[in-house]
Amino acid sequence: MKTLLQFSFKRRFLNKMTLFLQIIFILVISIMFYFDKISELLNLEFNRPIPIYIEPNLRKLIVNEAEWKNKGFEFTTNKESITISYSKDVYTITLVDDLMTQSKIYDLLLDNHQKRKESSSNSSVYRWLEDYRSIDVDFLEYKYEDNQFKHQIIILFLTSIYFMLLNFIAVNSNEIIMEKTSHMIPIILTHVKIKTHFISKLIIGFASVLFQIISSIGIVGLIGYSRYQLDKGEGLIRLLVKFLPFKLDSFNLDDILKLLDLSMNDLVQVSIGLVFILIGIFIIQILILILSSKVKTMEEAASIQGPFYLVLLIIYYLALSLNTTQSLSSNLGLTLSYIPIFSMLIMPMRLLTQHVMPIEIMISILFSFALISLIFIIMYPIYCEGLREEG
Amino acid sequence: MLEIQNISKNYGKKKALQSCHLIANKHDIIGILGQNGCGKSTLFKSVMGLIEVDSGTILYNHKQCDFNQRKKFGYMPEQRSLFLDLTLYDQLKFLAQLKGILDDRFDRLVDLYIERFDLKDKKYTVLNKLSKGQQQKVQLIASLIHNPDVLILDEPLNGLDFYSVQLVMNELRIQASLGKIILISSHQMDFMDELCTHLLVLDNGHTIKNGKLSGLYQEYGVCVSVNADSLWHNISKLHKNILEKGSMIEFHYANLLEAKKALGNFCKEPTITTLKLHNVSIGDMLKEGE
Repeated sequence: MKTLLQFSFKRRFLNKMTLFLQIIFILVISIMFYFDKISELLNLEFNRPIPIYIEPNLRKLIVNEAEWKNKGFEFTTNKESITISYSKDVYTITLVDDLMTQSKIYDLLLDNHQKRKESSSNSSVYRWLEDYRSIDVDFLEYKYEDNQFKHQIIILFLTSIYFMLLNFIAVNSNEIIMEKTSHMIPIILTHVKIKTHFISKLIIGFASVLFQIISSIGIVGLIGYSRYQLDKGEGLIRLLVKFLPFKLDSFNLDDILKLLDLSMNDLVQVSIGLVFILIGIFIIQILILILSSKVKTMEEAASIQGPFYLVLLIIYYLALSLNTTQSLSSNLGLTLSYIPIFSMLIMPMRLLTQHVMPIEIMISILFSFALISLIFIIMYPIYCEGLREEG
Repeated sequence: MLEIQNISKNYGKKKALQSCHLIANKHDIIGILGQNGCGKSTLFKSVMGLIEVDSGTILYNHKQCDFNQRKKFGYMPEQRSLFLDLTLYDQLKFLAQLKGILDDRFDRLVDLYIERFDLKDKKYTVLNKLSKGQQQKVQLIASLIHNPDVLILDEPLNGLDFYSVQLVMNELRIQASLGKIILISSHQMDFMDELCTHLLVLDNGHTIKNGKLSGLYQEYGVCVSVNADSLWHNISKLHKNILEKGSMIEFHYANLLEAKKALGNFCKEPTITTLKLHNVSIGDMLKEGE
């Protein structure tokens, strides 16, 4: 029993891949706990206050300015930033494009309102209490309401593709592991050069990703069309509106398409976004393929994909947390949109929320290709060695 | 001609091969022998380019052996190397296609070999449904299917029954007669005796014997074997080199002349019913080497 336990423990936990996973985990957790320090060190301006314009009549009424600062806002005179106006006991807020900021502003306005109420006297306690409890805030006047919906739909589309493709990053790795465990590698390497083997794996990996995208879009299109023919998807849209964070007044696919109002520019942006996702997936495929060549046991094979899924999940959450015009314009957002792998989601989001110069797109793609070249130069010998070890 | 010139390979501190030298010509069947871990597989992998040697060169037809040259080599590794979820036909087809063999030619070749190896009814059987010996034969066919000029076979007789061993040996003799060079390792010495024309014996990476089997036979003398239940003691009181081998007793002589003299005496003993003049077996050569 003891021997069995020791044997299993050693094989499961003292293998290179599990150690690699642990290193990645330690790294990620360390970054999380020291993010403020790292952000300061790298001058990422992640903590840069969000500029907010408060109209003079309301500005006079703000008594909790310190609270606003603590929550990351900075009062400005620039009307292009978030603006809050106040008229007839209704606060109107424009240019807030994420729910979290909306919620923070609401809380701060309510806090301000309550502080003011606390210092004022009122004849009717009942009326005072009623006033005290709530405020009227109007978030409906988005300057870019239509864009917001379009933006959300495109982000939904891109992130769906991102997750769909995550399944495929492991295909190559599984194939290599299968070839290694069946001892076919020596036989195959007497038939083809290692470089041919490597490139064919990359091609087939990338081709399966493309096939998956095309077939999925085809299937979605076909089934969507059949539903459109049936009743223009009316019942479905009504159901979806209940669960999805969209505000819609129309409930059939015709109206949705009109609302989306997809232009050629939107399609170009989505296509560029897809290119970034594909490049990111390609880089991850190369890395996972090379690491798979070093796998020697089934236990190692089981842990090889872990670090990649962890990193990809972090990229996803990072992209979601940065999915506001302000965050994406911060140094962190800008920097990550150039860093390969991170750029696979951050750059598409930047493309959708702000004007990105073509040169920025080119530079970001160039960085990714530079990383691919670097991986080829530095890590290809590791692949050769990994396969030859089996040979 | 395949020339292995003083190749050496170390795995860390372990010296797997030390200055190994071998020349193999057409029609040669070279037995690579030695204990487990003596460097046989390392030698094969070096020839196949699966590992890089630390020093020395491998030439084929007087040219440095590269990937294109090795396309003419067929390799069968010691381990079971098959996609066990494929059928026999699909597995062979995959490897044949990698070698660029066209479908028509492949179909003809596969039919020929599965018939020779008694696997005709298994053509479309999934490999994991085959016995270990049958899988071994499939691997051998895989190494032959592209009609290689050089065959590198690491323990091809493992797991084969006597009948299958005979099939394999016959095939290898046919291949050698066609001008192929065959390098084969095996621990089944009796079969190596019957099959090989040359021998390379390794010990901890060092070459301890290398040459034509006929030359080695001369070096090790000649044997006469008689049935053990005979009154052979009366005749061979003076013999020192006597080996008991089951139902036979084997007498070793330095040369053929001595053996012939002894043979005359053995012929006179009426209790001797079985009498055989033969070379020293490879197994005994190795024992003497120790």
